[in-house]
Amino acid sequence: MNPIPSPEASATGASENDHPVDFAKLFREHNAALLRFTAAKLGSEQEAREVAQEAYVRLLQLDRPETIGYLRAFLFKTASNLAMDRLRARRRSPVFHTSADADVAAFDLSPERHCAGEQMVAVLKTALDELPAKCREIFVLHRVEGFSRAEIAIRTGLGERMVRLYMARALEHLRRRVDEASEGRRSLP
Amino acid sequence: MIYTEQDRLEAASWFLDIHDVEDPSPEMLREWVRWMEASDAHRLAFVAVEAAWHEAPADTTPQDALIGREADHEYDGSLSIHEWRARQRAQPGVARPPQATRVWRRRSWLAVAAAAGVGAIALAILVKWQGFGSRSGDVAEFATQTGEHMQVTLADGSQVNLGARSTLEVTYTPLGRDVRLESGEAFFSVQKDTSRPFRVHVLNGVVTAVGTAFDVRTANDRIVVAVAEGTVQVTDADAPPGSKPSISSSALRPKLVTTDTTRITRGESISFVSHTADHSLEHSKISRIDPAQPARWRDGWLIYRDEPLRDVLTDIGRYTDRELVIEEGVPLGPHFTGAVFKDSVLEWLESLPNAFPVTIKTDGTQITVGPASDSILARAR
Repeated sequence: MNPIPSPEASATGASENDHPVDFAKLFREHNAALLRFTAAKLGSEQEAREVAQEAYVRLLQLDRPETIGYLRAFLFKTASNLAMDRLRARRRSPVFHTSADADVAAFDLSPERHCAGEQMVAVLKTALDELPAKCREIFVLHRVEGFSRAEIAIRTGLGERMVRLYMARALEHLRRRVDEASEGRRSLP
Repeated sequence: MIYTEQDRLEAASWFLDIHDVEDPSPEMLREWVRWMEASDAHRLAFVAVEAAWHEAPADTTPQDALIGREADHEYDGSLSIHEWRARQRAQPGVARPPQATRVWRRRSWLAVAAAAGVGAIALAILVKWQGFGSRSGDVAEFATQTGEHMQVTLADGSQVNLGARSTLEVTYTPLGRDVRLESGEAFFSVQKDTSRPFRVHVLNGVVTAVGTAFDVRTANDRIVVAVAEGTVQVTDADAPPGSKPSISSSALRPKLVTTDTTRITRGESISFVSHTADHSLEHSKISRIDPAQPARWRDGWLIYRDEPLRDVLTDIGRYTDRELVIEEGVPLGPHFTGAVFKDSVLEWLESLPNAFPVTIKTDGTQITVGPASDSILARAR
């Protein structure tokens, strides 16, 4: 499980906020994380790059120089907002996003290559059906219907921590099935 | 695999946090980057669960999720689902309830999610309510199969338990919460909202509540209302015979001319037949009941109080797969008072001739209830 950020961690964070602004350093240190952060929301590397690009443009348009700490927060917050805008636009005019998306296929680290698009969807569908009902319900409410954790907590009468645990267990299981399917494929002659 | 199971679970947790966060705190970002940079396996696992999330079929509705699934209330998230499934297989305990197919029409996003299962623990989900300002209102319909019970939570938090073979249409508008019980039985636990009365339309009757719990049941032309909490107003509306007062066409203000209105409260029930001289609402007697009784059917107890046998038979027919045929000449006169357990409906029917002047013939697909005189004649021949 995730380590919960400790109060010490936030205390040590204060000092770096006083550093003078160094955009190159900011970019170097945070670009990878920003891209991953944005791709996590959008599910597309290509779109993540576009959003990150725009976030940098907005950062440079800020008229007052600020501290690194502020700029980093601004960068992620802006990227997050832009990603949300895109997701909302997608919901208005749904464009089918599949793993045929050349960008996902090209993604360097992805073990996806071992399990081609359609097959992966089939594996995921089966895996989804294997989930305990409550777990599946929570996952689908979040993933498909876009309900927030807090909303799901109210709807199911569970605490937010439990909702998060159920979602994590569901996602863990989906990925396990994809991994097993790709292992199987690799072991074939 | 390039990452461990632990990596995968941690990645799933991190992914959900990163995916959901709108304004990440510096601490969260720092912790996340630290985790990501700790090993290649972490980053691989993160990207892997990210792909699983985004590729997960998006055409799955939460309703599908609840159809005919095994009771899973023992799953508490402490085990992985893989381990949990292995244990489930190791101890084949309770047989799965028969798979229920749901008639489900989603006419708008208002649609409210439902949970089902004969005897299974039902889950309920609320739905976003954004329909204010939409003039036509939002409509959803729920229907159950023979022997099936369903629990539904409506957009305002009101709960409905739908009995077997029952159909409920829900129309919510800014001005009112209207539901129509087309057939069967429903128990309502209504969220208080004085500005939007909750109205249950059944045949020509309307049951209006502000915030209370009550049961409404219909069989043949009869309407039975029983109150577990609070007070409801029962109105027998005078509509031209044959035309059902439509709630969808004029949902904002059903044009119903009131002929009779009665208020019943906790621990009371009323049974009446619209538009009849003797059994109309006006002539109905209010019965005292145990306030817990209106909801007892949810545990499988079908309770009737001084109701005509014919209507009881029709109602009980919702709990057997066999077609219940009630022949002409089955006496309307005798009334039944008592409780029938839903799983022993067949035995109850078979013992009916001991108490009532009826005959019962059963075969694999049908149960025929006939008048006793027939069998006497048949035997005489």
